[in-house]
Amino acid sequence: MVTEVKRVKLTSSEGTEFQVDRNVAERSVLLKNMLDDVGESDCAIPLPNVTGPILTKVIEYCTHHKDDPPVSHEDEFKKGSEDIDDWDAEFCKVDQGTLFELILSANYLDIKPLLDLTCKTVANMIKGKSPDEIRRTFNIENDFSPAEEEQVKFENDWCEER
Amino acid sequence: MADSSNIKEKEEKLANAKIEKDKGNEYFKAGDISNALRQYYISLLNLNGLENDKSFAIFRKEQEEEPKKDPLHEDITKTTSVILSNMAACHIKKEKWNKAIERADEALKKDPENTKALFRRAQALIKDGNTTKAREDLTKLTAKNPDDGAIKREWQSLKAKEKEQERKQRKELAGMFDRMKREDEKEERSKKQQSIKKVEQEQKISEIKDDEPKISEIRDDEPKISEIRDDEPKISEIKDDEPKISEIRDDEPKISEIKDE
Repeated sequence: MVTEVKRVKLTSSEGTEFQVDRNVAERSVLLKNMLDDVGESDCAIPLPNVTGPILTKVIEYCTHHKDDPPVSHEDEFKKGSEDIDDWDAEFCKVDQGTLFELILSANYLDIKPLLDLTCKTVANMIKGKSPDEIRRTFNIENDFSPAEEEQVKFENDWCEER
Repeated sequence: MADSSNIKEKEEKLANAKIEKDKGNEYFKAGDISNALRQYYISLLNLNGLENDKSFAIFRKEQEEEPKKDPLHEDITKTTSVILSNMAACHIKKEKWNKAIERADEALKKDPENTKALFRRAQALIKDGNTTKAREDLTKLTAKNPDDGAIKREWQSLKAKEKEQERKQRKELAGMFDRMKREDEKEERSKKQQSIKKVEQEQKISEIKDDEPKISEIRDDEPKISEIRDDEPKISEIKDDEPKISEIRDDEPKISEIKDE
């Protein structure tokens, strides 16, 4: 069976045009709704809040997952943060800035599986680390005074694993 | 990223969104609903992500530079709400009631004071047959604008819909009770017959066979049940009523005219 796959044009914030198959674009619920409601058009869909490099990554993800069966958000949630397949894990090996941009874009374009994946990746970066290590990982300034820090440590002492 | 350039970028996107929205309104007025929807989507693509979404603020580099009160915040949410509400109007035109309700819901989430979104949700709810929720929305609308003609007209179509539903329900229930009654009668009759049979059995066992025609009489009853089915065309008469409702639909261009906002 040969079905002609319709192409959809997308424009990144810098105005770079990308062409993708409709089923790739439809990984984004926002774009799927739009295509369902208004059909295809020769005009590109502008995505003023996604830069070219990030859109390239998002398209890479959507192309790899274009034939995935729909998974409910809850099921995905139950899987926990360890359960990431090899391709996805490799996909998330990017610098922190890119990872965060991906989270924002997945949210903006409404691509739940990508949002789950990227957020799990961040969760794994936090897991098992001491506060100082987390601060170093995410470049967070310690704005507690020594007294405040003692107080917080004292209040949370009960949940520390020893 | 400096604070001022960030705000400037936001201002630009907001301005773009408004231009696209106005183009959408033009298409809508001209009756080109698909293109209107398309413009509204493009407008939303400019706006989504501009809001200071707290859950994601941590990932923005500029989080510390950005003041908590975004001067554009109100304009952004209000504009988003107007666009969503206009999208609901498009779906009403296309008679996609569920989508219209969804968009109006979203519009009201952004701006609970968006009267037009509330009005459109009420319209779509009536058409969709959800009269209970429609009544809630219309009650709120009337409280705000007691003399609005368009709202009064929706009250009328709500009442028409409720009557239609009531009639349909009564028909169904009446049919059901009739059937139950007949079944009860049938049961009673066959019980009587059985008791007669028992008596006769005790008297003359050989006569039982002659009794049987009586049982087949019970079967002759059944056409009466099918008469109940003959009732159904009357339900389709209710459907014939509907053109009157669609007359109300013809009113819509006046109601749903999107005034420039």
